[in-house]
Amino acid sequence: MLQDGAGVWRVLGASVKGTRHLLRQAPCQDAHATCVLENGCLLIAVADGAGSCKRAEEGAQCAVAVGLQHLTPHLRQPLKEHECKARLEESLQAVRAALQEKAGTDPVADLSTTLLLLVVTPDWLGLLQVGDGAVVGCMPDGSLELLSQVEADPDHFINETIFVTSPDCVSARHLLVRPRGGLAGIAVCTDGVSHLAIRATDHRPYPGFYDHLFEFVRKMESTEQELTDFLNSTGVNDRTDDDKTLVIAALHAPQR
Amino acid sequence: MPLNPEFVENPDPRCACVLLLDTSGSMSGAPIEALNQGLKAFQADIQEDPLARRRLDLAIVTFGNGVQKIQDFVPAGGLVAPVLTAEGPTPMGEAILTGVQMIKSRSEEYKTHGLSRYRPWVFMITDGEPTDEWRAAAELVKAEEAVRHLVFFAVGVGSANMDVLKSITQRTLKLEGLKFRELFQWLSASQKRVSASQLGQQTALPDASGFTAPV
Repeated sequence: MLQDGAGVWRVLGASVKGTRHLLRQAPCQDAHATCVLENGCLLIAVADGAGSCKRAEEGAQCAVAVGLQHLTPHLRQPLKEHECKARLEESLQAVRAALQEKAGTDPVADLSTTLLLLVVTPDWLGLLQVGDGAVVGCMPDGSLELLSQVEADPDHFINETIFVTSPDCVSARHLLVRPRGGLAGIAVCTDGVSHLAIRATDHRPYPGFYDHLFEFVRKMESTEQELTDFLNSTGVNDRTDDDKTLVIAALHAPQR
Repeated sequence: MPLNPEFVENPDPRCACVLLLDTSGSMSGAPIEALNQGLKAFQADIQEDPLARRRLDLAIVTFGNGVQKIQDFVPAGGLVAPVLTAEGPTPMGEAILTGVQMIKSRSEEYKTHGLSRYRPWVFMITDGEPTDEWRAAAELVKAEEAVRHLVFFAVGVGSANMDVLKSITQRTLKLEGLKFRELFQWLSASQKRVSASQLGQQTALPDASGFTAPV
Protein backbone atom coordinates (compact mmCIF):
# COMPACT_ATOMS: atom_id res chain seq x y z
CA MET A 1 0.00 0.00 0.00
CA LEU A 2 1.18 3.50 -0.74
CA GLN A 3 1.78 5.89 2.11
CA ASP A 4 -0.97 8.25 3.10
CA GLY A 5 0.89 11.13 4.64
CA ALA A 6 1.48 10.00 8.19
CA GLY A 7 0.87 6.30 7.69
CA VAL A 8 -1.34 3.58 6.33
CA TRP A 9 -4.96 2.91 7.30
CA ARG A 10 -5.72 -0.32 9.10
CA VAL A 11 -9.43 -1.13 9.48
CA LEU A 12 -11.20 -3.77 11.53
CA GLY A 13 -14.96 -4.19 11.64
CA ALA A 14 -17.58 -6.51 13.08
CA SER A 15 -21.38 -6.73 13.03
CA VAL A 16 -22.92 -8.96 15.67
CA LYS A 17 -26.49 -10.02 16.36
CA GLY A 18 -28.06 -8.54 19.49
CA THR A 19 -29.47 -10.69 22.29
CA ARG A 20 -32.98 -9.43 21.59
CA HIS A 21 -32.65 -10.77 18.08
CA LEU A 22 -31.32 -14.05 19.39
CA LEU A 23 -34.57 -14.49 21.35
CA ARG A 24 -36.51 -13.83 18.21
CA GLN A 25 -34.28 -15.93 15.95
CA ALA A 26 -34.08 -12.96 13.63
CA PRO A 27 -30.90 -12.41 11.64
CA CYS A 28 -28.46 -9.64 12.45
CA GLN A 29 -29.89 -6.54 10.86
CA ASP A 30 -26.69 -4.49 11.03
CA ALA A 31 -24.21 -4.45 8.14
CA HIS A 32 -20.89 -2.81 7.38
CA ALA A 33 -18.38 -2.56 4.52
CA THR A 34 -14.93 -0.98 4.30
CA CYS A 35 -12.33 -0.25 1.65
CA VAL A 36 -8.80 1.14 1.70
CA LEU A 37 -7.63 2.26 -1.74
CA GLU A 38 -4.09 2.17 -3.08
CA ASN A 39 -3.96 5.95 -2.93
CA GLY A 40 -4.65 5.76 0.80
CA CYS A 41 -8.32 6.75 0.72
CA LEU A 42 -10.52 5.10 3.34
CA LEU A 43 -14.20 4.30 2.89
CA ILE A 44 -16.53 2.98 5.60
CA ALA A 45 -20.25 2.20 5.34
CA VAL A 46 -22.41 1.14 8.29
CA ALA A 47 -26.14 0.41 8.31
CA ASP A 48 -28.70 -0.55 10.99
CA GLY A 49 -31.81 -2.27 9.61
CA ALA A 50 -35.08 -1.41 11.33
CA GLY A 51 -35.99 -4.06 13.89
CA SER A 52 -39.65 -4.24 12.97
CA CYS A 53 -39.14 -4.52 9.21
CA LYS A 54 -39.33 -7.89 7.50
CA ARG A 55 -36.42 -7.44 5.10
CA ALA A 56 -34.34 -5.03 7.12
CA GLU A 57 -31.16 -7.13 6.93
CA GLU A 58 -31.39 -7.06 3.12
CA GLY A 59 -31.86 -3.29 3.30
CA ALA A 60 -28.79 -2.82 5.48
CA GLN A 61 -26.59 -5.09 3.34
CA CYS A 62 -27.76 -3.44 0.12
CA ALA A 63 -27.19 0.05 1.53
CA VAL A 64 -23.55 -0.55 2.51
CA ALA A 65 -22.71 -2.43 -0.69
CA VAL A 66 -24.28 0.10 -3.05
CA GLY A 67 -22.96 3.06 -1.04
CA LEU A 68 -19.39 1.84 -1.29
CA GLN A 69 -19.76 0.66 -4.89
CA HIS A 70 -20.93 4.11 -5.89
CA LEU A 71 -18.23 6.04 -4.04
CA THR A 72 -15.12 3.93 -4.67
CA PRO A 73 -14.44 4.78 -8.35
CA HIS A 74 -14.70 8.51 -7.62
CA LEU A 75 -12.08 8.35 -4.91
CA ARG A 76 -9.34 7.06 -7.17
CA GLN A 77 -8.55 10.64 -8.19
CA PRO A 78 -8.24 13.76 -6.03
CA LEU A 79 -11.55 15.45 -5.22
CA LYS A 80 -12.42 19.02 -4.42
CA GLU A 81 -14.69 19.76 -1.45
CA HIS A 82 -17.82 20.35 -3.55
CA GLU A 83 -17.14 17.17 -5.52
CA CYS A 84 -16.88 15.18 -2.32
CA LYS A 85 -20.27 16.53 -1.19
CA ALA A 86 -21.84 15.81 -4.57
CA ARG A 87 -20.55 12.22 -4.68
CA LEU A 88 -21.91 11.55 -1.17
CA GLU A 89 -25.35 12.97 -2.06
CA GLU A 90 -25.41 10.90 -5.25
CA SER A 91 -24.49 7.77 -3.38
CA LEU A 92 -27.52 8.28 -1.11
CA GLN A 93 -29.71 8.53 -4.20
CA ALA A 94 -28.10 5.38 -5.59
CA VAL A 95 -28.84 3.53 -2.35
CA ARG A 96 -32.47 4.70 -2.37
CA ALA A 97 -32.89 3.56 -5.96
CA ALA A 98 -31.26 0.21 -5.22
CA LEU A 99 -33.54 -0.41 -2.24
CA GLN A 100 -36.58 0.43 -4.33
CA GLU A 101 -35.48 -2.08 -6.94
CA LYS A 102 -34.68 -4.74 -4.38
CA ALA A 103 -38.07 -4.30 -2.74
CA GLY A 104 -39.78 -5.49 -5.92
CA THR A 105 -43.47 -5.93 -5.15
CA ASP A 106 -42.99 -5.43 -1.40
CA PRO A 107 -43.21 -1.90 0.04
CA VAL A 108 -39.73 -0.35 0.18
CA ALA A 109 -40.37 0.33 3.88
CA ASP A 110 -39.81 -3.40 4.50
CA LEU A 111 -36.12 -2.77 3.84
CA SER A 112 -35.84 0.26 6.17
CA THR A 113 -32.33 0.98 7.36
CA THR A 114 -30.14 3.79 8.65
CA LEU A 115 -26.89 4.58 6.82
CA LEU A 116 -23.52 6.11 7.69
CA LEU A 117 -21.16 6.72 4.74
CA LEU A 118 -17.67 7.94 5.53
CA VAL A 119 -14.77 8.83 3.24
CA VAL A 120 -11.30 9.98 4.25
CA THR A 121 -9.10 11.28 1.42
CA PRO A 122 -5.67 12.89 1.85
CA ASP A 123 -7.45 16.27 1.96
CA TRP A 124 -11.02 15.73 3.11
CA LEU A 125 -13.17 14.00 5.64
CA GLY A 126 -16.67 13.40 4.30
CA LEU A 127 -19.67 12.00 6.17
CA LEU A 128 -23.23 11.40 5.10
CA GLN A 129 -25.63 10.19 7.79
CA VAL A 130 -29.27 9.12 7.78
CA GLY A 131 -30.56 8.00 11.18
CA ASP A 132 -28.65 7.24 14.33
CA GLY A 133 -25.23 5.78 15.06
CA ALA A 134 -21.97 7.51 15.96
CA VAL A 135 -18.77 8.54 14.17
CA VAL A 136 -15.81 9.55 16.32
CA GLY A 137 -12.56 10.98 14.97
CA CYS A 138 -9.18 10.79 16.68
CA MET A 139 -6.45 13.35 16.11
CA PRO A 140 -2.69 12.70 16.38
CA ASP A 141 -2.67 14.20 19.91
CA GLY A 142 -5.28 11.63 20.94
CA SER A 143 -8.16 14.08 21.23
CA LEU A 144 -11.57 12.71 20.27
CA GLU A 145 -14.35 14.44 18.40
CA LEU A 146 -17.93 13.38 17.68
CA LEU A 147 -18.47 13.92 13.95
CA SER A 148 -21.96 12.47 13.59
CA GLN A 149 -25.16 14.39 14.28
CA VAL A 150 -26.79 14.54 17.66
CA GLU A 151 -30.56 14.18 18.13
CA ALA A 152 -31.82 17.65 18.94
CA ASP A 153 -35.52 16.90 19.47
CA PRO A 154 -36.33 16.61 23.18
CA ASP A 155 -39.44 14.58 22.37
CA HIS A 156 -37.50 11.99 20.41
CA PHE A 157 -37.95 8.34 21.40
CA ILE A 158 -34.80 6.28 21.08
CA ASN A 159 -36.56 3.40 19.39
CA GLU A 160 -37.63 5.62 16.52
CA THR A 161 -35.28 7.05 13.95
CA ILE A 162 -35.21 8.18 10.35
CA PHE A 163 -34.39 5.70 7.60
CA VAL A 164 -33.03 5.83 4.07
CA THR A 165 -36.48 4.71 2.94
CA SER A 166 -38.30 7.53 4.82
CA PRO A 167 -39.97 10.18 2.67
CA ASP A 168 -38.04 12.97 4.43
CA CYS A 169 -34.70 11.15 4.25
CA VAL A 170 -33.10 13.59 1.83
CA SER A 171 -34.03 16.71 3.77
CA ALA A 172 -33.13 15.11 7.11
CA ARG A 173 -29.76 13.70 6.06
CA HIS A 174 -26.66 15.05 7.77
CA LEU A 175 -23.77 15.93 5.43
CA LEU A 176 -20.34 17.01 6.60
CA VAL A 177 -17.27 17.63 4.43
CA ARG A 178 -14.31 19.36 5.97
CA PRO A 179 -10.51 19.41 5.77
CA ARG A 180 -9.03 16.19 7.03
CA GLY A 181 -6.78 18.10 9.35
CA GLY A 182 -4.42 15.29 10.29
CA LEU A 183 -7.15 12.85 11.35
CA ALA A 184 -5.38 9.71 12.56
CA GLY A 185 -8.25 7.47 13.60
CA ILE A 186 -11.96 7.03 13.01
CA ALA A 187 -14.59 4.79 14.59
CA VAL A 188 -18.11 4.16 13.32
CA CYS A 189 -20.77 2.31 15.28
CA THR A 190 -24.51 1.66 15.33
CA ASP A 191 -26.62 2.85 18.24
CA GLY A 192 -26.35 -0.47 20.08
CA VAL A 193 -22.71 0.47 20.74
CA SER A 194 -22.95 4.26 20.96
CA HIS A 195 -24.94 3.89 24.20
CA LEU A 196 -21.76 2.39 25.71
CA ALA A 197 -19.32 4.84 24.20
CA ILE A 198 -20.81 8.32 24.03
CA ARG A 199 -21.81 10.16 27.18
CA ALA A 200 -25.52 10.94 26.97
CA THR A 201 -25.39 14.18 28.97
CA ASP A 202 -22.99 16.10 26.73
CA HIS A 203 -22.47 13.74 23.75
CA ARG A 204 -18.78 13.43 24.42
CA PRO A 205 -16.96 10.33 23.20
CA TYR A 206 -15.72 8.43 26.22
CA PRO A 207 -11.92 8.19 26.15
CA GLY A 208 -11.92 5.03 28.28
CA PHE A 209 -13.71 3.31 25.39
CA TYR A 210 -12.15 4.85 22.29
CA ASP A 211 -8.49 5.17 23.33
CA HIS A 212 -8.40 1.45 23.99
CA LEU A 213 -10.01 0.64 20.62
CA PHE A 214 -7.70 2.83 18.56
CA GLU A 215 -4.68 1.33 20.32
CA PHE A 216 -6.08 -2.14 19.61
CA VAL A 217 -6.42 -1.59 15.88
CA ARG A 218 -2.96 -0.07 15.56
CA LYS A 219 -1.45 -3.37 16.67
CA MET A 220 -0.89 -5.58 13.63
CA GLU A 221 -1.66 -8.78 15.54
CA SER A 222 -5.18 -7.71 16.57
CA THR A 223 -7.96 -9.52 14.73
CA GLU A 224 -11.59 -9.06 13.76
CA GLN A 225 -12.39 -12.18 15.76
CA GLU A 226 -11.27 -10.37 18.90
CA LEU A 227 -13.52 -7.47 17.95
CA THR A 228 -16.42 -9.87 17.35
CA ASP A 229 -15.77 -11.57 20.69
CA PHE A 230 -15.81 -8.22 22.42
CA LEU A 231 -19.18 -7.32 20.89
CA ASN A 232 -20.50 -10.69 22.08
CA SER A 233 -19.17 -10.25 25.60
CA THR A 234 -21.27 -10.09 28.76
CA GLY A 235 -20.13 -6.56 29.47
CA VAL A 236 -21.65 -5.39 26.22
CA ASN A 237 -24.78 -7.57 26.35
CA ASP A 238 -25.59 -6.45 29.87
CA ARG A 239 -25.90 -2.94 28.54
CA THR A 240 -27.62 -3.42 25.19
CA ASP A 241 -29.75 -6.07 23.49
CA ASP A 242 -29.52 -4.37 20.10
CA ASP A 243 -27.47 -5.51 17.10
CA LYS A 244 -23.94 -4.12 17.34
CA THR A 245 -21.58 -2.87 14.67
CA LEU A 246 -18.18 -1.35 15.34
CA VAL A 247 -15.67 -0.37 12.65
CA ILE A 248 -12.37 1.14 13.77
CA ALA A 249 -9.66 2.55 11.53
CA ALA A 250 -6.30 3.94 12.59
CA LEU A 251 -3.18 5.11 10.84
CA HIS A 252 -0.12 3.11 11.67
CA ALA A 253 3.48 3.45 10.64
CA PRO A 254 4.10 1.44 7.44
CA GLN A 255 6.23 -1.66 7.88
CA ARG A 256 9.74 -1.43 6.49
CA MET B 1 -3.71 -7.31 23.91
CA PRO B 2 -7.19 -8.18 25.21
CA LEU B 3 -9.98 -5.95 24.04
CA ASN B 4 -11.79 -4.73 27.12
CA PRO B 5 -12.35 -1.02 26.95
CA GLU B 6 -14.30 0.78 29.63
CA PHE B 7 -17.91 1.67 29.08
CA VAL B 8 -19.37 5.07 29.69
CA GLU B 9 -21.93 4.96 32.49
CA ASN B 10 -25.05 6.22 30.80
CA PRO B 11 -28.36 5.98 32.64
CA ASP B 12 -30.69 3.40 31.15
CA PRO B 13 -33.30 4.63 28.71
CA ARG B 14 -36.78 4.25 30.16
CA CYS B 15 -40.12 2.94 29.01
CA ALA B 16 -43.14 3.90 31.09
CA CYS B 17 -45.99 1.41 31.00
CA VAL B 18 -49.35 1.69 32.80
CA LEU B 19 -51.56 -1.38 33.21
CA LEU B 20 -55.25 -0.46 33.46
CA LEU B 21 -57.07 -3.45 34.95
CA ASP B 22 -60.84 -4.01 35.16
CA THR B 23 -61.75 -5.20 38.66
CA SER B 24 -65.51 -4.70 38.29
CA GLY B 25 -68.00 -7.16 39.81
CA SER B 26 -68.29 -9.20 36.61
CA MET B 27 -64.62 -10.14 36.92
CA SER B 28 -65.18 -11.97 40.21
CA GLY B 29 -64.50 -15.67 40.45
CA ALA B 30 -62.52 -17.36 37.69
CA PRO B 31 -61.64 -14.21 35.71
CA ILE B 32 -59.97 -12.30 38.58
CA GLU B 33 -58.19 -15.51 39.71
CA ALA B 34 -56.82 -15.97 36.22
CA LEU B 35 -55.82 -12.29 36.03
CA ASN B 36 -53.95 -12.58 39.34
CA GLN B 37 -52.11 -15.65 38.10
CA GLY B 38 -51.26 -13.84 34.90
CA LEU B 39 -49.81 -10.93 36.84
CA LYS B 40 -47.61 -13.26 38.91
CA ALA B 41 -46.33 -14.93 35.74
CA PHE B 42 -45.69 -11.51 34.21
CA GLN B 43 -43.60 -10.43 37.20
CA ALA B 44 -41.54 -13.62 37.09
CA ASP B 45 -40.99 -13.42 33.36
CA ILE B 46 -40.10 -9.75 33.08
CA GLN B 47 -37.73 -9.99 36.02
CA GLU B 48 -35.65 -12.60 34.18
CA ASP B 49 -34.51 -9.94 31.75
CA PRO B 50 -31.78 -7.69 33.20
CA LEU B 51 -32.47 -4.90 30.71
CA ALA B 52 -36.26 -4.91 31.20
CA ARG B 53 -35.75 -4.91 34.99
CA ARG B 54 -33.95 -1.61 34.72
CA ARG B 55 -35.58 0.03 31.74
CA LEU B 56 -39.28 -0.74 32.12
CA ASP B 57 -41.15 1.46 34.63
CA LEU B 58 -44.47 -0.10 35.54
CA ALA B 59 -47.59 1.34 37.16
CA ILE B 60 -50.93 -0.36 37.84
CA VAL B 61 -54.38 1.26 37.99
CA THR B 62 -57.52 -0.73 38.73
CA PHE B 63 -61.08 0.29 37.93
CA GLY B 64 -64.08 -1.23 39.70
CA ASN B 65 -65.17 0.37 42.90
CA GLY B 66 -63.56 3.62 41.86
CA VAL B 67 -60.26 4.13 40.08
CA GLN B 68 -57.24 3.26 42.20
CA LYS B 69 -53.55 3.74 41.53
CA ILE B 70 -52.48 0.59 43.31
CA GLN B 71 -48.90 0.77 42.03
CA ASP B 72 -47.13 3.98 41.15
CA PHE B 73 -44.23 3.73 38.70
CA VAL B 74 -41.60 1.24 39.83
CA PRO B 75 -38.79 -0.32 37.81
CA ALA B 76 -39.91 -3.76 36.68
CA GLY B 77 -37.20 -5.26 38.88
CA GLY B 78 -39.08 -3.98 41.93
CA LEU B 79 -42.58 -5.01 40.89
CA VAL B 80 -44.59 -7.17 43.28
CA ALA B 81 -47.67 -8.53 41.51
CA PRO B 82 -50.80 -7.37 43.35
CA VAL B 83 -53.60 -9.75 44.35
CA LEU B 84 -56.78 -8.16 43.07
CA THR B 85 -60.42 -8.58 44.15
CA ALA B 86 -63.41 -7.75 42.00
CA GLU B 87 -66.46 -5.66 42.76
CA GLY B 88 -68.29 -2.55 41.60
CA PRO B 89 -69.05 -0.89 38.25
CA THR B 90 -66.69 -0.17 35.37
CA PRO B 91 -65.40 3.45 35.46
CA MET B 92 -63.25 2.90 32.37
CA GLY B 93 -63.37 6.52 31.17
CA GLU B 94 -61.91 7.82 34.40
CA ALA B 95 -59.30 5.03 34.43
CA ILE B 96 -58.13 5.93 30.93
CA LEU B 97 -57.82 9.61 31.83
CA THR B 98 -55.81 8.66 34.92
CA GLY B 99 -53.50 6.37 32.96
CA VAL B 100 -52.83 8.90 30.23
CA GLN B 101 -52.12 11.62 32.78
CA MET B 102 -49.68 9.37 34.61
CA ILE B 103 -47.83 8.72 31.34
CA LYS B 104 -47.65 12.43 30.50
CA SER B 105 -46.27 13.33 33.95
CA ARG B 106 -43.75 10.52 33.82
CA SER B 107 -42.56 11.57 30.35
CA GLU B 108 -42.00 15.10 31.62
CA GLU B 109 -40.02 13.78 34.56
CA TYR B 110 -37.80 11.76 32.26
CA LYS B 111 -37.18 14.82 30.12
CA THR B 112 -36.38 16.95 33.16
CA HIS B 113 -33.79 14.40 34.22
CA GLY B 114 -32.35 14.10 30.73
CA LEU B 115 -33.24 10.41 30.40
CA SER B 116 -33.62 8.78 26.98
CA ARG B 117 -37.09 7.34 26.48
CA TYR B 118 -38.92 4.66 24.56
CA ARG B 119 -42.49 5.45 23.48
CA PRO B 120 -44.66 4.73 26.55
CA TRP B 121 -47.47 2.14 26.71
CA VAL B 122 -50.91 1.99 28.22
CA PHE B 123 -52.22 -1.56 28.40
CA MET B 124 -55.91 -1.95 29.34
CA ILE B 125 -57.78 -5.17 30.14
CA THR B 126 -61.56 -5.18 30.52
CA ASP B 127 -64.40 -7.69 30.45
CA GLY B 128 -67.25 -5.25 30.02
CA GLU B 129 -68.08 -1.77 28.88
CA PRO B 130 -67.76 1.59 30.59
CA THR B 131 -70.39 2.58 33.13
CA ASP B 132 -69.12 6.16 33.14
CA GLU B 133 -68.60 8.88 30.55
CA TRP B 134 -65.81 7.60 28.31
CA ARG B 135 -65.90 9.42 24.97
CA ALA B 136 -63.67 12.27 26.08
CA ALA B 137 -61.14 9.69 27.25
CA ALA B 138 -61.33 7.94 23.87
CA GLU B 139 -60.70 11.24 22.06
CA LEU B 140 -57.72 11.92 24.32
CA VAL B 141 -56.19 8.52 23.53
CA LYS B 142 -56.67 9.07 19.81
CA ALA B 143 -55.10 12.53 20.03
CA GLU B 144 -52.10 11.27 22.01
CA GLU B 145 -51.58 8.34 19.64
CA ALA B 146 -51.87 10.64 16.63
CA VAL B 147 -48.91 12.70 17.85
CA ARG B 148 -47.12 9.50 18.81
CA HIS B 149 -46.93 10.32 22.51
CA LEU B 150 -47.95 6.85 23.57
CA VAL B 151 -49.11 3.43 22.41
CA PHE B 152 -52.51 2.22 23.75
CA PHE B 153 -53.52 -1.43 23.75
CA ALA B 154 -57.01 -2.59 24.73
CA VAL B 155 -57.65 -6.25 25.51
CA GLY B 156 -61.22 -7.49 25.77
CA VAL B 157 -62.06 -10.51 27.93
CA GLY B 158 -65.29 -12.50 28.07
CA SER B 159 -68.24 -10.35 27.04
CA ALA B 160 -66.24 -7.15 26.67
CA ASN B 161 -67.72 -4.62 24.27
CA MET B 162 -65.12 -4.72 21.50
CA ASP B 163 -66.83 -1.89 19.60
CA VAL B 164 -66.18 0.47 22.47
CA LEU B 165 -62.55 -0.65 22.58
CA LYS B 166 -62.15 -0.17 18.86
CA SER B 167 -63.38 3.41 19.17
CA ILE B 168 -60.64 4.05 21.72
CA THR B 169 -57.69 2.55 19.85
CA GLN B 170 -56.82 0.52 16.75
CA ARG B 171 -54.72 -1.83 18.83
CA THR B 172 -57.31 -4.21 20.23
CA LEU B 173 -57.09 -7.89 21.11
CA LYS B 174 -59.85 -10.27 22.16
CA LEU B 175 -58.59 -12.73 24.74
CA GLU B 176 -59.52 -16.34 24.18
CA GLY B 177 -61.12 -17.69 27.33
CA LEU B 178 -59.11 -16.65 30.35
CA LYS B 179 -55.64 -17.04 28.84
CA PHE B 180 -54.19 -14.27 30.97
CA ARG B 181 -50.95 -16.12 31.50
CA GLU B 182 -50.31 -16.24 27.76
CA LEU B 183 -51.38 -12.61 27.43
CA PHE B 184 -48.90 -11.51 30.06
CA GLN B 185 -46.14 -13.64 28.56
CA TRP B 186 -46.83 -11.85 25.30
CA LEU B 187 -46.74 -8.49 27.06
CA SER B 188 -43.48 -9.40 28.74
CA ALA B 189 -41.96 -10.55 25.43
CA SER B 190 -43.17 -7.35 23.78
CA GLN B 191 -41.70 -5.25 26.54
CA LYS B 192 -38.40 -7.07 26.22
CA ARG B 193 -38.43 -5.95 22.62
CA VAL B 194 -39.38 -2.46 23.56
CA SER B 195 -36.24 -1.16 21.93
CA ALA B 196 -37.29 -2.45 18.51
CA SER B 197 -37.89 0.43 16.16
CA GLN B 198 -41.39 1.57 15.53
CA LEU B 199 -42.83 -0.69 18.15
CA GLY B 200 -46.59 -0.70 17.92
CA GLN B 201 -46.87 -1.95 14.40
CA GLN B 202 -48.16 -5.48 14.40
CA THR B 203 -45.05 -6.81 12.68
CA ALA B 204 -42.92 -5.75 15.61
CA LEU B 205 -44.79 -7.77 18.22
CA PRO B 206 -44.72 -11.46 19.01
CA ASP B 207 -47.47 -13.64 17.61
CA ALA B 208 -50.67 -13.26 19.59
CA SER B 209 -52.74 -15.85 17.76
CA GLY B 210 -52.27 -18.51 20.43
CA PHE B 211 -54.42 -16.76 22.98
CA THR B 212 -56.58 -14.31 21.07
CA ALA B 213 -59.84 -14.84 19.25
CA PRO B 214 -60.55 -13.11 15.96
CA VAL B 215 -62.43 -9.87 16.53
